[in-house]
Amino acid sequence: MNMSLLRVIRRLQSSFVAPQRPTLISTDAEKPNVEGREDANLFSFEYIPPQVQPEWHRNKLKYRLERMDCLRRRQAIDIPEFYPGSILAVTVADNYAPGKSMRFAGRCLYKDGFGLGCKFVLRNVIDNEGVEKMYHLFAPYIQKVELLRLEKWIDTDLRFLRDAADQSICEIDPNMQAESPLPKTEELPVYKGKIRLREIAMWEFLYHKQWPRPYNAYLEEHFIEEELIEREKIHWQTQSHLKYDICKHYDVTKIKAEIMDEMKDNRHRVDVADKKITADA
Amino acid sequence: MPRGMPHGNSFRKFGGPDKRLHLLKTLVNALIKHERLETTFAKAYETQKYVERLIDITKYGKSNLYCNDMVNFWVPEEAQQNKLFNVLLPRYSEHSRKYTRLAVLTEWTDKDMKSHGKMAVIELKGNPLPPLPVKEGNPHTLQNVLLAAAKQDWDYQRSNVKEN
Repeated sequence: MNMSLLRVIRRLQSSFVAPQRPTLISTDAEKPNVEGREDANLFSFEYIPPQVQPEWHRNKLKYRLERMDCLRRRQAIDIPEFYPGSILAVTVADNYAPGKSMRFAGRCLYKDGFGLGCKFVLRNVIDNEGVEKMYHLFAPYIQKVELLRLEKWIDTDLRFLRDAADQSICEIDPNMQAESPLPKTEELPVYKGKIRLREIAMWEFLYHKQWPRPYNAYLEEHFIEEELIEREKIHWQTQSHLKYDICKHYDVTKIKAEIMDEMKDNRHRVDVADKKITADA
Repeated sequence: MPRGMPHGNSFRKFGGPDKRLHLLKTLVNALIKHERLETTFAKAYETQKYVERLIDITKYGKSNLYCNDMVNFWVPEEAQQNKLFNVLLPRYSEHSRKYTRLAVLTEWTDKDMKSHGKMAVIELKGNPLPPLPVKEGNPHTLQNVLLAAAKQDWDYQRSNVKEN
């Protein structure tokens, strides 16, 4: 090769300075999670212990161990954050199903229970037939939990949807595409729509008259506002002992902070218990 | 504890849920007004729970919606509400455990008075009335001496840890 050409190449190589790569830092990580939507490893609805009266019957060690087990399960599978009213699809391992697994999509009616016993119910209307299935959130036979649509309703108990006049609320296409949920740094808008219930006979369960009254359901559209208020007042007078019985109310404000503090230590405790690290670390 | 605990319900019935609430409301208001009450043991035991829970609720402050709602139901009179917030709340701001004291009275041994049943006195701590003749434990027994020393050690340790 030509010597001058080599010299030029060497000079260019030595004077060449690679430009700095632009660092893409997103500021989303600096924003904290909104108060109602914390990281599931720190706080979730099922970590709150059940109300026990009198209080000294509570066994806090048992609750702590159960929360540690929930952490272990959350490591193995990704359980998304959802509320009653949101649409989910659950794949479950089944020995006798084709492909050894079964998928069911539906709208979550309610979420109940503590720790590993947390259950939720999905409802779907298939061929004009209502189908409900109950799942345990931390069951080992659950392979996947997909969140199709994240919705939050004012009521946490949506069993009145069984008696809705328009059943298309619970008609969910199993091949529905998942909609990306809002990030946890933003507050989730609450669904305030009112659903009309079909005409219910007196001997059936009157969802619109249970206490506490559902917000998202109504039976009659009242033209005379005073009539409705009178009826509400009479019903309220017979149920006021539930609203004002302060010793039976469950105060959760301080428990949440305690649980979040505890879950930060539980990560370490789980690793020590599983012998991944020694207790001194 | 009431006799038996049906379905984990550790409360007495007192003639129905509405009557029970009304009864407890009058007792709670009377306690706040007079600071010492003599009733049956059952009623005193239940009011103890409700008064302490009420004071815990008032600690959230008047601006809290829940606190306002509950206080307006349980203490409807203006004078008693003011006493709750202005006198009792600062008195119990540093109290760690209980705000009331329950002392059981001796039962009547006379046949004529046997229908009275077990009576008790419930009082708010720190009240201006002359103290109840409650029999405190003997501080000179071996157990109590050791317990007092242990408590002192514990307090000293905690104060040290706080400073460090």
